Amino acid sequence: MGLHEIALIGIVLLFVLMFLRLPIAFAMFIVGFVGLIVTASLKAATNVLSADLWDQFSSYSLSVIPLYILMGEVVYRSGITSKLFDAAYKWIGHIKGGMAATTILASAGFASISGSNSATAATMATMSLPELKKYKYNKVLSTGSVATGGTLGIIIPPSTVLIVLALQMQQSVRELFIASVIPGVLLTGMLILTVVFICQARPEYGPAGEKYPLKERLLSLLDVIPIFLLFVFIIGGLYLGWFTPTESGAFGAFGAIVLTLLMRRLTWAKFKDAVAASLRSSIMVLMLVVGAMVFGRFLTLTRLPHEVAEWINTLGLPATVIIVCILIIYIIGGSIMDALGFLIISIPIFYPTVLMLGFDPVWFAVILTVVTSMGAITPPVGVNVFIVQGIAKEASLVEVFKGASLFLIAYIIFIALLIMFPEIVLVFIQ
Amino acid sequence: MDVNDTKAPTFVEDVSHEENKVLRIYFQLTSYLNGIMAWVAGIALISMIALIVFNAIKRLFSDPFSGTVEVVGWLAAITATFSLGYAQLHKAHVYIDLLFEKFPEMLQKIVYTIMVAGSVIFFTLVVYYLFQHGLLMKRNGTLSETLQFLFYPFILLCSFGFVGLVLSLIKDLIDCWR
Repeated sequence: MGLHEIALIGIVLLFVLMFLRLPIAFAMFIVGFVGLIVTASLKAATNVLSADLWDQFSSYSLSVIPLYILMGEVVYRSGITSKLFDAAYKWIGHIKGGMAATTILASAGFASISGSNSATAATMATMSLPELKKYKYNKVLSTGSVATGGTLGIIIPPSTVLIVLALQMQQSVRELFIASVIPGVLLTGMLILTVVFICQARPEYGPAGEKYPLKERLLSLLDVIPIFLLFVFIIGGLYLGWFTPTESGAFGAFGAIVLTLLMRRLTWAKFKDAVAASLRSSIMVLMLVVGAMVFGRFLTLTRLPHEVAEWINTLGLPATVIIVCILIIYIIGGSIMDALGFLIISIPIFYPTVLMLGFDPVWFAVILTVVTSMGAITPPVGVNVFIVQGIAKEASLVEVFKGASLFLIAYIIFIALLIMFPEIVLVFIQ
Repeated sequence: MDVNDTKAPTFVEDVSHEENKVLRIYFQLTSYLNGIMAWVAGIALISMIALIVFNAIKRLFSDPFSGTVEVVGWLAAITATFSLGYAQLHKAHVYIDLLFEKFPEMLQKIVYTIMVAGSVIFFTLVVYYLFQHGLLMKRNGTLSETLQFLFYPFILLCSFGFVGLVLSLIKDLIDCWR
């Protein structure tokens, strides 16, 4: 049996194990390990489980993951998110569909300190759904805007997915974070515009809220400014080269603890919960990253990714057509399984092709986060949709999917813009 | 940290009193051990933040602490591996149950048992090979590059972190058939 056949069997086995409910990380570990025994030797495989595993877990660059996660958890558990929502509402709640637009804007605010789709969707669902109901918003629009707003969690930095992509593609976390700021802001704007368009066409979907005087609007920013400053400090500090990504994460977590303490919003119980939740999320992500390392070693030995890249190159298709095909695979993948899990499995397969086609790795990483987060609201397994439906019991799954699908057009336009104008991503790093 | 949130089991009638006792001790041991390890992981995480922030501020005024990268790496390894069992007790790892949910209950149990048993074997191997690697570092007297410090105890501790995961997986296996 040739190496390519072994690689294909490995990939099929990986998917079989995953669909038999073995955690994705464990499946990558096991298939990668067995694959290494078959393609290399038992010694090489055991070396990966000993020296390489230690090197990965004790890696300075990987240590950034729990730091950013802790920052998001501390802010989330301190309840500052309600202030974000309140401020966003006072500024844009008076327009038609203002409450739904508020949800998206507050999601963007929460995303700037959280790195997770599901955390953003769950937080905003708990907070905004009762308000949307109070203002008699249509269930389709209200649940759809919460589920879609949640997708901003991994697009706006600091994002766990961007960190993992940077590590897997051997790119700078700093560049990925900086590159995703403009796309994050633009996408937020487009999603808000979508709400406005929907409510122009169907005014009964989202009635306008009350208008607040300028003084009250400005006052509402007081509670939000510290969090905004924290975001500016950690991302700005990275941009200006004041500190490394790991230091940025540490300052972010430290700043979040100090700020929430000063604002008298962090109790010992909340702090313990935040640390415990960070540990759970961090090891979940780290196991995926390290499992991908083991699986990636196996795939590299089989040379399958490079052969695939060379084969695609011989097809003579325009690079844009190939990248669109790859992105479609990611949309499908992101819709049937966890975004991070799919990214981690597929990067070793597609990344060499993307490089061979001459695309910028930073651009590719950012567009991947957009595409896979779109998967989080795409049937059949739009993760965010299930989260929102779990909280909004009165809305059916079909209604939430219908609501989320209203925003898919904005997503498709946005992806097309990123393909046509890569400068949107690369402007700050070139 | 919610150390005690994985409650001691309630036992089915067909399990004898003695078996109950053994299982109860095993479940409690797994829960407490992983809870304690989660505390250590949490302390390591906070220490990591403190060290990085302290070092970044220190370098504004004087030379930075040269071993920061190494110490942060060791603390990161403890943070990660000591959370493994705790995360498993909370089913924190990402999995897909799209197809699995459609299986009949008995088939679900059988498949789940095979998957968890396979994981137990695999991670027991990880414990063994990591431990052996730690011992090798000890025998060779390998020192860290910057601090010139014997770091093998951290590798041994990491292998112990995977013990927590194996214990949690075995607990899941027993839970599945109770």
